[in-house]
Amino acid sequence: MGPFWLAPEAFSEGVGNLLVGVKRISQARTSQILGWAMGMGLLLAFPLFVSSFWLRIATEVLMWAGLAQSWNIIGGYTGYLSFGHGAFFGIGAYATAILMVHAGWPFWPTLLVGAILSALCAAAVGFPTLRLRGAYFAIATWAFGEAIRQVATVLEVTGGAFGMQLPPFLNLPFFYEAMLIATVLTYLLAFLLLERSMFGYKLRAIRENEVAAEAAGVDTVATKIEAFILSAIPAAVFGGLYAYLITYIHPDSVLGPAITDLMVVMVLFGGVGTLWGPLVGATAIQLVNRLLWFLRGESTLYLVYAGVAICLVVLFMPDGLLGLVERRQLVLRPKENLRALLRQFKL
Amino acid sequence: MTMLLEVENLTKSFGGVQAVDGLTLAIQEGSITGLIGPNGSGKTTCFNLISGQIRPDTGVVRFAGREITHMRPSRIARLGIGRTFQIPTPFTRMTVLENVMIGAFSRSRTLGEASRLALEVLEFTGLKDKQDELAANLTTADRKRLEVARALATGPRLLLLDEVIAGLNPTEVQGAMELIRAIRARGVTVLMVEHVMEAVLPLCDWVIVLNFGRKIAEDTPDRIVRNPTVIDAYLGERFRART
Repeated sequence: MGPFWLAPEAFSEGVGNLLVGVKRISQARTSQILGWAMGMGLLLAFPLFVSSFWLRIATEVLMWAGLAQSWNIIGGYTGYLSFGHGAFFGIGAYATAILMVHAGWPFWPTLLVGAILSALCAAAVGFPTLRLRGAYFAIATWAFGEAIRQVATVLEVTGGAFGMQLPPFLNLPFFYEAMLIATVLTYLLAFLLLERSMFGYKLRAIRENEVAAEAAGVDTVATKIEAFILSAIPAAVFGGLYAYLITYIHPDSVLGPAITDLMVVMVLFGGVGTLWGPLVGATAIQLVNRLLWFLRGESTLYLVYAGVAICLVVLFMPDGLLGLVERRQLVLRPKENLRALLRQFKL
Repeated sequence: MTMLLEVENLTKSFGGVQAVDGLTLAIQEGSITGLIGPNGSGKTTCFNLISGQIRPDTGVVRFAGREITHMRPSRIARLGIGRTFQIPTPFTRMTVLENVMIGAFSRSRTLGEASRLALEVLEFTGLKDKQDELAANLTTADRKRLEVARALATGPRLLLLDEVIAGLNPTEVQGAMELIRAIRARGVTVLMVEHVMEAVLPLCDWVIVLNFGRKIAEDTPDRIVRNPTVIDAYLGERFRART
């Protein structure tokens, strides 16, 4: 294996792709540029048109869309189940909280620290476990997630089980815009690195047949570790943003198992291993989640809905909502669908 | 005579089974060499040891004078040993072109370059019409071809072919044989495991016979088919009549 930390080919290729992307944008037709610019403008101007109720919901949808995409990089494109992805979200949240509360840092640089910490943790977890296949990685990441939660519960600096209170900054439009930018960047990164680069093709080859990919010259271990690190970074950024938005965090709220579970459900429900699937899944789940909350108050009813969604996907919608729209019908072969899903995750 | 691949005293056992037992062989650059033997004689294990999929208990593998014994398969592939698998292993939900591009990444710096190299290989292997098909939809014969194309795309000096002819119909066998000859004509050395003697004998310059993980004979094809040890162990009585 090449020393990926010295020559991260994915990231150098990613920088090259960003340049190509900028070049493409400069060459695109004026109408196209106008279309994208107008779309982006509308999204940016959203807070001007809507009530804070809807702005709040839009902010959450954006966050979940970004989180789902971060999981999709390792889980969807690469086919490795990360059951501890919520830990990266929590690491980002606590990094922001600790640095702002105990060190008096301003908000923005704390996101960078959270991202770096998460990347280092992903490298440390991925380095030994991504040499193994499938279930081992799923178990190891789950254990990692639990370990981080326990650490946050016992440490003094994290406020233990009581959690931490951040300096309140009650400016919803600010958080909406920040989430929007973070989400757009996450999807841009996914587009350039996963849909338009050798790196993305290598990940898919690993998902389809790892032994064959390795034999065809793909350094599968280095590629998987890079993918895992890449997927950890946005999760931490959203964690930091969320902590500052919510102003009060504790181990259950930012490190609870539901965070990982929702990321997985959203990706599978929208369309696993696709660029827009996570956005579709996150929107579908989070909107209904908030609707139920509106109708029934704070309850765990949405978990039932998420459970039904996941059952539907596993049994009848192997490509999620996106696949359903394309095919216009359910795939009524539950056994085969289940088998294909397990194969995809190397289980 | 330059030897492109040298295997010395290679040993591998699985549990109590000695799959490869003190195997020594050398492959001459530019040749087509056949590796034959009964089922379970260690042919595929031998391929897996050379291409790094499994690690030997003892012994040395040298490629172009360089020891590659403990390298990872991807490293070995990039150094110039391509291989196919006995049961084709296409990336099923990717197109034929994308499958071959994965191999071409070994010698490309951009996606566009990989795509050009892959298209050239598809043209050469006769899969160009099917470049946009999903690999899952290919016939067995085309899957075997794709297996070869993906390995070729890495730009190998040595190509290990694991039963790419077995299971094909007579027309397809002719096509596969032509392809293997064309590969050699491009300067690629070929080592092939094959049961179909009607293909091995006319194609190969040299044949190595394994039994119980050991080399029991090696010679030119016309002498191998008259070798009593080989007839007893593998070829059987229909070849006895030829002597």
